[in-house]
Amino acid sequence: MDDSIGPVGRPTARIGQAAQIARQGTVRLWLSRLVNSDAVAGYVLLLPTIAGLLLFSLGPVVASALLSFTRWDGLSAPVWTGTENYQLLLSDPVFWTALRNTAFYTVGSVVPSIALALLLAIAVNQKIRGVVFFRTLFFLPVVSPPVAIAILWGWLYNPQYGLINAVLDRLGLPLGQWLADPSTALPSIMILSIWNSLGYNMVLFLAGLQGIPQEMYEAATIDGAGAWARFRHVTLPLLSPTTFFVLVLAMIGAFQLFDYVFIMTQGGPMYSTLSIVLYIYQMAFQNFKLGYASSLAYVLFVIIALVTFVQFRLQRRWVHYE
Amino acid sequence: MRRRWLVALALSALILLPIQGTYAAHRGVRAGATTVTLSFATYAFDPWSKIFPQMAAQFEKEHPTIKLKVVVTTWNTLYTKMQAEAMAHQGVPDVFIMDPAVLAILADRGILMPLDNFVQAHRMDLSQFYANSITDSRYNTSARTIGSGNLYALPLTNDQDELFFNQTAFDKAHLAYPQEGWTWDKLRNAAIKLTLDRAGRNPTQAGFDANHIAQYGLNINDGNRGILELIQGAGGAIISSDYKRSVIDQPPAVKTITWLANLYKMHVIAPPGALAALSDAFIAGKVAMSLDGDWQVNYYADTIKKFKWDIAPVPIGPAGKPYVIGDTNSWSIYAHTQHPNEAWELLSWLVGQEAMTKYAAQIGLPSLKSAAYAWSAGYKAPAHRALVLKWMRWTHNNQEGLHENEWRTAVDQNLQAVWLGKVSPEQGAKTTAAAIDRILQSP
Repeated sequence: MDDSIGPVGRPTARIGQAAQIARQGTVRLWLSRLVNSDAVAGYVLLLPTIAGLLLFSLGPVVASALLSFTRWDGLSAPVWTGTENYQLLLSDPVFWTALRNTAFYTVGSVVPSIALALLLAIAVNQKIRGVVFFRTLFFLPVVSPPVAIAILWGWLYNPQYGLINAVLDRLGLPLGQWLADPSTALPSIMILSIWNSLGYNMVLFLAGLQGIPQEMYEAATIDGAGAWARFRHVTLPLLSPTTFFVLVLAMIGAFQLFDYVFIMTQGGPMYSTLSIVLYIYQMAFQNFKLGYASSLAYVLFVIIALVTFVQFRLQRRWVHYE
Repeated sequence: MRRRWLVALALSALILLPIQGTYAAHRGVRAGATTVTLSFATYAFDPWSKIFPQMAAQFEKEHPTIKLKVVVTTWNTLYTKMQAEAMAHQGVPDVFIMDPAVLAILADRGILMPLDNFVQAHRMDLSQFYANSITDSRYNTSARTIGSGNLYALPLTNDQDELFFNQTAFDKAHLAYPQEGWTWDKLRNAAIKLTLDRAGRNPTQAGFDANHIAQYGLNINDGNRGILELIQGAGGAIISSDYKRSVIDQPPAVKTITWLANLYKMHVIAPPGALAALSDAFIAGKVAMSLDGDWQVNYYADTIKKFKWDIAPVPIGPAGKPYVIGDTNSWSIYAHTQHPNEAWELLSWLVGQEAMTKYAAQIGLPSLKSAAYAWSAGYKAPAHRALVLKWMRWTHNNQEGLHENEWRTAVDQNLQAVWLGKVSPEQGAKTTAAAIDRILQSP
């Protein structure tokens, strides 16, 4: 032990030793707190999910962003091309057609889907016999595989042998070409999509309806409100958080239209059912232009993000959380 | 508290470790020190799906050290899946069936193994195959077209288009059967008379109901390869010979498109998608004539029982000479297979006399000249099948290039506007040419 005297008259060696002991004690205390911390245990339990998100979600998102600035066929090394893909995209008429189709599909399927689902939810919220059966029935399309649904509806829509035209024919009504006509192909897909999503949205609205306190309706009735007034001034405002949730999810889902058009039309006839995601798939996996496909994907991402952002900003005006 | 932390760590490890283990398993397993397993892929087409396991079984019996794992996928996903597997550097089959539409793409991307060294080392005589089959299996990496350069496949079947016709329908309409020397005019006239609504009226008769057509006169069943064939039969083309621009807006092609558009207008050809729900419109008896590939011949012979049918050569177009597009299905080896010698052993067996005679002949016309006779053996229908060997003299290769998939989609989508009567044939051809040029000029 060194007993030399320090500046304030204490032996420096003892000060050093004491400091060391103090540091060791601090570290032990910190480690002990760490080991016994609930937060750390929580993070460790989250580790598989975080690893999965980083590896399978965030990683590809970042990689795709970088690839959008390259020319890459997936097999040879990517070649940096700067903004070439984005410039090509702006002058690509097929891209603009796909974007127009996707926008039309989104607006045309989401709004009716929400409105009809709300009506259905109100209907199945009644205390009537067999309501559980109807709730199950309306939810069945949601749990059916999209490929099976697409094949089935492809048959229904067949202009020669489909059930829809057979019924119209029997009723003496004009027949349609449905998926074979560019003016009716996308609306036909929209009808299918609305049918498929009704059950899911209905369940969400049903949960929202059942969360509205009955006292509100009683108070409104006492104040002389009729059925329509109760719906407009009680149901709709109190259901607005659910409506907002359904709207956001439905729009994000609609922008990513792929399975129905892939199975039923492959984007035809005349590109009339080509969606952005189907175009991305064709560019990436049929034409091996993964760099260009990545740029398309990022444009879609920006559009969805913008639309969602606008929705969140506008919600302050019409969504009532209390 | 510490126990909770340790439990959390253990649980996380329990979840993560199997993922790592699964990844390790996918790296591939060698069956054993003396046995090699090759994956052997094809696309699902009824006759092929039945034959491939038989081929595999016989090969394994004759080659005990090689095991085959047969993989069957749909046509439109086989090559997409293969390229995705190639991108991931795992799972690509060692030996697979090669389609002419994708040979250029896969060869250019280094997925196919050049076979010239094997051919030379084993002194395989390529003249035993039909010349156009060998040409179809070559790819030139400099010019980036099929037809010359290294050999990337060995041919399986030598396919070409025929005109399939429903003899029973012709008999009912009291029409003479199609035959060698038929022109487009005769084809058109017969097709109009064979287009019938439910009441049995054709488009030239009063009261013809276009909303209830029981039978269409003509079907072009091979996508836009049939359109290409007709255009070339008129002396035109879709792409210029230097592969740099589209010539579909030139007069011979526009003439062909106009001719077809008139047939669509008269409801002689079904509108796009109208017959899509049927697996095969000719088998269903919904079309009286179908321009299709000869790989359908044996399939139809096994399947069609409701009516009599036969084949005739593709009718002669305005250019005055028969023009038929030929294609070759073939076998290729994955460029990065871990078992190149065994893969070559399989390949050379597949194109050998026995396999060609016994198996390939059930699929289509074998590319091996000495096995071509086997295509007719054992089959009675159709009556003129033996003449296919004679009609092969009119066969031309379709020299696919790299962008073929992309521009074929553009042709298909843009010409639908013409078939649906939305634009004139001239306008449709112009729009299609512009779309193709954009594709050919894209990086």
